[in-house]
Amino acid sequence: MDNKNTPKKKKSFLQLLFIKAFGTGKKKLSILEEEQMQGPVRTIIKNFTSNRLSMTGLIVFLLIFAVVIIGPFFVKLDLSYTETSQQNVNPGLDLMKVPSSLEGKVAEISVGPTYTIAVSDSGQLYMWGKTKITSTLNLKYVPSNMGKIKRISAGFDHILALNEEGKVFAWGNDRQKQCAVPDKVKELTNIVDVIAGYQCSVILTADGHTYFFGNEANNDYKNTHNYQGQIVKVVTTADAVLGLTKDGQAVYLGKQSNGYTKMPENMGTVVDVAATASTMAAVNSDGKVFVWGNLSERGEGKVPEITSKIVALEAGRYHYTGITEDGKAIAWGFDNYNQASVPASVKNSKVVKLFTGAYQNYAVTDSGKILTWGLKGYLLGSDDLGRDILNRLINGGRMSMTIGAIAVIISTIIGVIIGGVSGFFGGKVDIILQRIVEIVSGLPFLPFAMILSALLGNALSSNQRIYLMMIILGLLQWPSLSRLVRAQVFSEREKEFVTAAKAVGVKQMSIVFKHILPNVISVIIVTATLDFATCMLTEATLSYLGFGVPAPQPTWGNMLYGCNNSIVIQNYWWRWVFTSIVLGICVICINLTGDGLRDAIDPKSQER
Amino acid sequence: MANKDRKVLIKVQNLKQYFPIKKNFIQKEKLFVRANDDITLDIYEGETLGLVGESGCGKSTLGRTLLQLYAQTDGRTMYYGRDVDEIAPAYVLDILNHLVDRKKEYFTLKEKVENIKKQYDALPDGDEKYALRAHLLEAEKHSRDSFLDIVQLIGGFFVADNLAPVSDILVKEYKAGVEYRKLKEKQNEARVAYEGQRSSLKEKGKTAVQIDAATKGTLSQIEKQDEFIKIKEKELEEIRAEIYKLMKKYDGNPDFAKYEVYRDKGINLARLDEEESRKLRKDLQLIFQDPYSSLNPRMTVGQIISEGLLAHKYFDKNDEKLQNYVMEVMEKCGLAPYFIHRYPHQFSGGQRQRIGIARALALKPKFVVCDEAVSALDVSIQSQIINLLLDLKEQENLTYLFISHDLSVIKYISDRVGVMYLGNIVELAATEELFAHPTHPYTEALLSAIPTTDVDNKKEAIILEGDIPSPIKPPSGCKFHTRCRYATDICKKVIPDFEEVRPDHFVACHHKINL
Amino acid sequence: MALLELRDLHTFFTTKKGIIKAVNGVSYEVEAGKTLGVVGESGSGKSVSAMSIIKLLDGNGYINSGEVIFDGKDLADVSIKDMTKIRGNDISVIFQEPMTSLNPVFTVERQVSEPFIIHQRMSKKAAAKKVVEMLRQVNIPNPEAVAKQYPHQLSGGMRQRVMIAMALACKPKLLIADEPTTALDVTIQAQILKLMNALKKENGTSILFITHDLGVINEMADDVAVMYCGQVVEMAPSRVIFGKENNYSHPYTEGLMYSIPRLDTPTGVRLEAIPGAVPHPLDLPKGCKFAPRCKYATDKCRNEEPALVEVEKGHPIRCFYPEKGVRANGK
Repeated sequence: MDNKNTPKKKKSFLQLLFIKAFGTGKKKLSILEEEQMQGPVRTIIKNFTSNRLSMTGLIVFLLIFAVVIIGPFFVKLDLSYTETSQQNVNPGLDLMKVPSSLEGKVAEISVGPTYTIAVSDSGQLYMWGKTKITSTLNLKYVPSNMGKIKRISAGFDHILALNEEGKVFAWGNDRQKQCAVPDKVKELTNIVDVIAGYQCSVILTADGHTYFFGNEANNDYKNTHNYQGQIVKVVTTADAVLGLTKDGQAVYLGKQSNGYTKMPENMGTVVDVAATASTMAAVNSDGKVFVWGNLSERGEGKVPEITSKIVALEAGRYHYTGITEDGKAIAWGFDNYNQASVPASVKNSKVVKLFTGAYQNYAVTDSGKILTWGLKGYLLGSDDLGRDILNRLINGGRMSMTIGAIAVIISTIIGVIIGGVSGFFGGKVDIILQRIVEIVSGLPFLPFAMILSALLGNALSSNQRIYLMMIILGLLQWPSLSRLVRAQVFSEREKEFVTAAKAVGVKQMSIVFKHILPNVISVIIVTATLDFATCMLTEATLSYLGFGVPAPQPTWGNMLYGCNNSIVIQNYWWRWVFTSIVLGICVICINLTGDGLRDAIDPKSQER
Repeated sequence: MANKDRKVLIKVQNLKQYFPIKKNFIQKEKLFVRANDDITLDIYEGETLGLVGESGCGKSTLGRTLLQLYAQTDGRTMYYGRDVDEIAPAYVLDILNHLVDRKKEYFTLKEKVENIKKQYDALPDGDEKYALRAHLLEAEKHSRDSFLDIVQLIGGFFVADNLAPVSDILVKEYKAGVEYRKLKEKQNEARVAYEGQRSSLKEKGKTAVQIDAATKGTLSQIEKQDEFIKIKEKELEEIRAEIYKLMKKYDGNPDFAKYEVYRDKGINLARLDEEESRKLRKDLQLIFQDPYSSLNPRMTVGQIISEGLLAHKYFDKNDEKLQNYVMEVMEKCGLAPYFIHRYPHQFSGGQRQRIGIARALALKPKFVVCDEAVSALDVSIQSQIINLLLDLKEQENLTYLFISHDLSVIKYISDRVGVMYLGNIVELAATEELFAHPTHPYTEALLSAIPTTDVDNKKEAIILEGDIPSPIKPPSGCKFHTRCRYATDICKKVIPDFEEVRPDHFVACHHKINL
Repeated sequence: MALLELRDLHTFFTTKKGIIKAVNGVSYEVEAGKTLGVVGESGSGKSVSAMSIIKLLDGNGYINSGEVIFDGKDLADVSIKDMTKIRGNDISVIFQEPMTSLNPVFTVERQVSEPFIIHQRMSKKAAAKKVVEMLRQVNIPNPEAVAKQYPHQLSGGMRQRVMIAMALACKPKLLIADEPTTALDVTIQAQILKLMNALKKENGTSILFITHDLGVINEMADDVAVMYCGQVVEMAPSRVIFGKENNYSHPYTEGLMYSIPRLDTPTGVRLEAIPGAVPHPLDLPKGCKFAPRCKYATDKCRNEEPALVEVEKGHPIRCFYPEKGVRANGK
């Protein structure tokens, strides 16, 4: 008996809860009774939820809002980040999409900034990633009749290849003559390696000679360096060349003395060298790694302590990788795209060959599998400074919405106070306030905002300019709301129930807060919602015109700022299309929500 | 019962209510809507006074002005439902402080009246005399007001040669009274809060013992206040004895007795400030015409009815007695108590009107203005509400001012009827008397214009030509002369006196009919 | 022959919460040159039945079934386009609130002359002359001046006169007056009623007079139809309904008569109020619609719906107990 009773009781308790929350049990009610039980707020909510269009709008907006508010906690924004090698990358996640036909027969992989080339055992060339560097330059157009390729090297925007017959091929950007193989080189028959760097190419011969061609102004290279005839390996940073002599010495092949020349002493017998964009590294026969050059906080110098010996070094743009003697891959350095975090799958397998470049790593295991980690690509592309657009979209959205929200809050507070005071007191106060409203609403908004921002903006820091933005928007937006509130307060004040409250002796303040305000609040909510959209759009407009939030700080508006020329619009469509779409959807959704709210609140719309 | 023997609840003298019209660039002269123009009226306790007239005649304005929902432009509106000491309005102190000057002022005014009167009497009948007449009436009113203001407060002391000591002692009494009342009020507030505290503790599930323990401190404080009150009371008594002593001096002075008659405890509503009249609102209530717009759509019935109770500190917000009381009132007004949490839009017009009535009656008022209370309702609902109003009147001993344009309803519900035309009461009499012997031509026309359901003797309606003139620029003389079929030259020039033509039957007309 | 005949008219409104049967099987006739008074409370369908005749219904209202025979033609089938020819020409309407039915931005002349220009193809000048004549006919003093004025410059009574002048401009056969005097003062109401009666006699216009005021009905109507909840509950010549020796009546009509105070109602006695309120149109009671409020109601009334039965010639009543004497003595 007792056991049977308990669930029944529980149910009735739940029912009671339900009744408390929703007025009464729902099943028994007819249409009319249901209508009778609803308070005005619930009627509004019901009306709103039954409006499909505005509900969709609200849901979509809330989704965007959630992404934009929560997203930045996961997608961190580095304001100072720029990366020349990643400029204007097309959207897509295919930077490390190794062709399956390459599996098991990798001879060499060379990684360029946005593309990767590989040679198979049979000397065949493979290429993936974004090979289109500019509208006119596409690296996928390889020279014909190259024959069997032996060595391959991916430069910044050009590629060098060496075939079986020792012939060098170069293609890609040739502005600095980095693809123009000098006759001297063409005559060589003993070429063993080709190295493509930033706007330069280096050729290494079997007898230890190096040949350099390309941008000599940018790359510090001395043609007649002291080690000609001893070099066995050459690596390049973005502006220098490092060699390894056959007697195990890392040597600088430039003429200047700079960060690179301050090599650590007592390196012992160097077995391998590598170079990132601005540092150089060497590993000695004890497996100890030395890093020097222009070390930064990116962490190229922070070599992890490991027990086993490192035998080979590879370098990306800002990170190093190495293979230990027992075939483990390790990585350190800049980790913004996880390029220095070796995934578990690689850690657990024996790595035979490791190829690193830019932000990508390719590990070939003993079973011939190619494992990759690092930057897969940019879902929405990257911008002209190499920044991920998705990242900026999320972080910029937060900024845009914050600006919109705070501007709306400011304008609502001012609007409600001025409108309320004006409407409630009327008379002279009203006349004076209305003149102020007229003056403010008479200001030409855009020019005024632009002038204000231009005048004050230069003296301010970037953060202050953001606050300035909010305040400008808030200060110029309120007149319409204040007029609405005033009109509403006017009409509420004259309503009979206000007289009735006065007649039963309710105090003035109580009348304002209990009778007038609740009846005005719906207007405020609707207007604030619609104003929110307007504020976001206005912010975008101002930022687009360059008078809004200053550059490194992203907002949806200034993300579009860089896209106001036809070259960008035509060639780099991803830089404006996604931002505009999100901004557009967001504004439309807010407007739909606002309109839905207005309909839901308006009692006349409830009749039909 | 003859009206003379009945207790007056509200005495209206020369009430004026003008609403200024916004000036524009072209108009130089400031214009007013003369909604009420010189209305004099007594409302007796327990009666229903009907007020009838066409739209724009100022009947609603009069109702609201009596309740001081509009600041009265001019005139005295005395309320006798409560002693003036209870409210102790600031205006009383002002008069008491300046008794000497006031008396002097009165004598100059009186002199002026006498001068004008002399002039007036000397003039032959004609336009000039008529013009002076208005002037004379105005001066007389001023001097009368000035006199009544003083005498009402000091009575027989008016004869005193030196009013300064009288002024001093009365001010002292006034001040002591104010302090005494403040203490009482504070104690009452504390008591109400104490009840609320107990109720909310009970709600939380505390036992009676726990509640007693928790609120003991508050209770003892309240009791302690009794002592202070008693001290003040004694002080007040001493002052009163002193005043009595002062009065003794004038024993046997016939003038003293003559003026002492004027002394009363009435409150001049017109001179109360906002807060003072707010306190009095619990006595003076209003039932609105439109049951839709007079209820706040965002408040439940319970909130609507209890709002006034809370504002006047009848109960604490948390007091369970509040809800019980509200339900009791609702039941009395024909609303099921379980409606308490519903919103106005869930009710029909008739039920809404009942909510409005419950709101007004919850405060236990003495005087209720029913401003077209049934006009907006459906025919079959009207009778329900009329019956309810009559029942409540009997139960609560209410006094009604029933305003309507519907003569049949007025006739049914009222004891006395006042007929208004363009801001003036043109005829005032007991209901039977008025309907049997309409003496003003307007009343006659109004009565004949009501369509009846009597098929057998359809009477010919007296059709009034034209429209009601604008109250901004009302016609000169008798305002009705533009539409009156008996109008003569004098009607255009002289404002007729509001005279008693038969016992308790007042008419303002130069050509009274049915006499 | 009747000028207008409504036969079993059903006019419905679609709302979110369901179909409101505002007019649910209404039949009445307006004889040529006579006045039919339709009386009822708000929500009884009295206005909707009249507006159905000229199809002036809100967007969500429609004639579900029934016939509207006007001058031998069924108007229920006439298209809206043809209807505009009939409106103002053969049938005119006067509304309760003249201010809302007059366009505030046009002068009186322009509005009153419209039907002459549209329906009778008069020139503007001739129409203007005609307007003055019409205004004079409705007893407007100084019609030349009034013709040049805007509606807001006129008083309520004047506006209603202008409305009547407009309505009578094309000498319609039928005038629908929808609570034409409700918003007016008694003295003005008396003026308007007198004017309407005079014009009716003069032009031979039939009037369909809708009001909630029994007194006004008695002054105006030859025949009376009492409506309740979308149905006619009683119909009779007005002298029968208001007559003292009337033996039959619907309890609702009886209630209406006694519930409002009249000049001859004795004071001190409580009014015989009809209890309750008009039911919600979506929640109509089963059986007789009036049963929940009727003091004579029996179980039969609550379960079965009575039909409109002629108790004597020209006096149909929708009640099981139409005889006053019988039901008062208990059943």
